[in-house]
Amino acid sequence: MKAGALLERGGPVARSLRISGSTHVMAAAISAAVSLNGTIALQTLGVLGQAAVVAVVFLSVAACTAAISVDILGRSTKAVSDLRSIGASRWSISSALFGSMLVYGAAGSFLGGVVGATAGSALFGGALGAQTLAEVLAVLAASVGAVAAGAYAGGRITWRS
Amino acid sequence: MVLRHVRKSYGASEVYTDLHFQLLKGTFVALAGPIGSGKTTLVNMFAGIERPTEGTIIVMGQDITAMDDDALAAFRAKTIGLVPQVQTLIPELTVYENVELPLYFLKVDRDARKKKVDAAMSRVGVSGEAKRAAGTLSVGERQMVSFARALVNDPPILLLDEPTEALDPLMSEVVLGLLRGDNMTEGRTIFVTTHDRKVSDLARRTLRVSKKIP
Repeated sequence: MKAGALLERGGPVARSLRISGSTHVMAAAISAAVSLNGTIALQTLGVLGQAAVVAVVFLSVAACTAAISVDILGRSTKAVSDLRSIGASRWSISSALFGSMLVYGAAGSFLGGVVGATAGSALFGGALGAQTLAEVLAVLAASVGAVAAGAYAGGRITWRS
Repeated sequence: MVLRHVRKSYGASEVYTDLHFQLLKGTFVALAGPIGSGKTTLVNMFAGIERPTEGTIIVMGQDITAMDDDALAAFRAKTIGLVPQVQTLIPELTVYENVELPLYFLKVDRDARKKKVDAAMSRVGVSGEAKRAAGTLSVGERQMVSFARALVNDPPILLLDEPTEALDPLMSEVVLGLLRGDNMTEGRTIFVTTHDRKVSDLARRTLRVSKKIP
């Protein structure tokens, strides 16, 4: 599947699965909220605490994304079966979901990270420097990685069942 | 298409016990029989949608019973045009998009997709409905769109499950005309289940399943 098709959020497969604007908003809002809180927390903690926060960010976002993926594929069993009957591979179906989750999850994470860094700086009086940038990037990487891992895991869970 | 020692059961209910069957390339065979006699099961097994409980099914020289689900889906997309009895159009998509889907999964480029979709829709007379959502079509119209979708990739095998059942006489005539033209001019292999005498009369051979599954 080409990258263009992967990111084709309004493509026929995504619409067959009824991946809607609400799904996109949910993925973005969850990632944004977790990233925002994670970035603020990172500015108050030592290295071990920061590692724990990054792990919590990853697990929370991955669990939410996996749940959304399982829900969408579970609700769309007829559409999935109909698409399979005309030649859709598991990947071509999963990638429509994966693409949506990744694009909107990453956007939410970025927004949450930036707002969290700014809010943390205002709350705790620190300057927005290289340290803050590294913290935002750590949260962003954990969150985006979690979206990818969660969407993949959700697909695997559904196909196995 | 060849079935060897095929057994199919759903729990304790035996549909086929030891079925041998061979369908030569380019032939048009109809299968008639009462409702619930396993006609749809046979179509679904040929299409690889259902697997036999035991036995082997060879389609175009390949053992489809040995393929995994994704290999089967890819094989189906390239080889088989299916018009199922139960509608499988995606109601949220337009008629055009529904007809386009098999080509999308085969990664046919956009320009080639457009040509093929336009040709298939024109062939069955649904070009005027291209932008309508499939969910708004009548049962008969949906059947015609299914037909266009089955033909869009020009598959060597066409499997039709009661293709005229939901159609009015005019639409039935269009389908009969297509079947006549397809089989005679393009050498396509056609397997059709039907109650419609007009359809079975077109077939080179008509098989009958007489027993209803207990």
